[in-house]
Amino acid sequence: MELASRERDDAIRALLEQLAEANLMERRLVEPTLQAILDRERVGSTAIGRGVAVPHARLEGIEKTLVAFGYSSAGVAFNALDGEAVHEIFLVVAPRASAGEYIEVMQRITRLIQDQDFRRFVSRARCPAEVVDLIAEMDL
Amino acid sequence: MAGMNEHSAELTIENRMGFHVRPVQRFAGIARLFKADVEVEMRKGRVPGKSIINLMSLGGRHGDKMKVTARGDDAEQCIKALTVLAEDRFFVEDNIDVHQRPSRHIERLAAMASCFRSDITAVLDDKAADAKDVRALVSLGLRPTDEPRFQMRGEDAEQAQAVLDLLVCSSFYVEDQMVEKGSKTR
Repeated sequence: MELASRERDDAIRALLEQLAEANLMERRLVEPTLQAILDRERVGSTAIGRGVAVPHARLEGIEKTLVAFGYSSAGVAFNALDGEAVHEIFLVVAPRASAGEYIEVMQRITRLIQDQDFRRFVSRARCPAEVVDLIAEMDL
Repeated sequence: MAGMNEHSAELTIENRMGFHVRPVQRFAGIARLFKADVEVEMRKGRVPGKSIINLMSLGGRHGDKMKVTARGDDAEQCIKALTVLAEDRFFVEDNIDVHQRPSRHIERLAAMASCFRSDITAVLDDKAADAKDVRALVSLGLRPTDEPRFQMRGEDAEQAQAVLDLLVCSSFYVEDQMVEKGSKTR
């Protein structure tokens, strides 16, 4: 989804709302998940360079690992070490006990990020379905 | 290159959650403070050790071993510092009993200072102590939120200053203090 807000907290909330909207996550979990993610951000920004951030949290009540993707052409302020605005946000919410799968998801995200074709196409995608197709095609 | 100063170490990922975002950020953050080129090799590949995205793409799990190689003038100090980091779970506090290690900020400071040949003195208020000596640092009464200054003398003072400043700026990675300090953290 194209993110409307340039503020980190609002962008993260919007992605969580999308997960709830799609019935992938219970709505009552949106607020505690947001808090867990923001607590994690306070320990250190999850902006990992090249305009990408991976805000994440593991918590009780989540049954499977969920990833929401948001794109901001204007850029979101994410307190990145390199000082750059973040354009691509991969939000990851995972069950409390999910070490192996969690690492695997992060690994797949970083592989997508390293793919220049993905980044070029995702910036031109016109709707969420195009991004989903793109990820399915590239994330073999 | 012939004659290039090269050092390496085999490090084990002790973190139960693997080589995830915080361990990788801290590894790359320390590696970047050195002039040496750093390379990390794990069973799935070999990547530059100063790139967070490249390091995360290795997907390192708990128990995995990685070979870290540094090439350049400060390669030896770089490998020592990265070894200190890995042996203390990259200063990530998810699975440690923080109550059993109330002086971990001091242990981290002394261990990092000991990676360098320079003489390093920590100065807090009007007191000074050898930054490589845990007991001397304890006598300073140093807390994680304190911001000591360092006096350095030696050939690798520049790198030592950068590494120790990062520790101070990050509240020595004592994570409950980092949350409280918020905007000061890295």
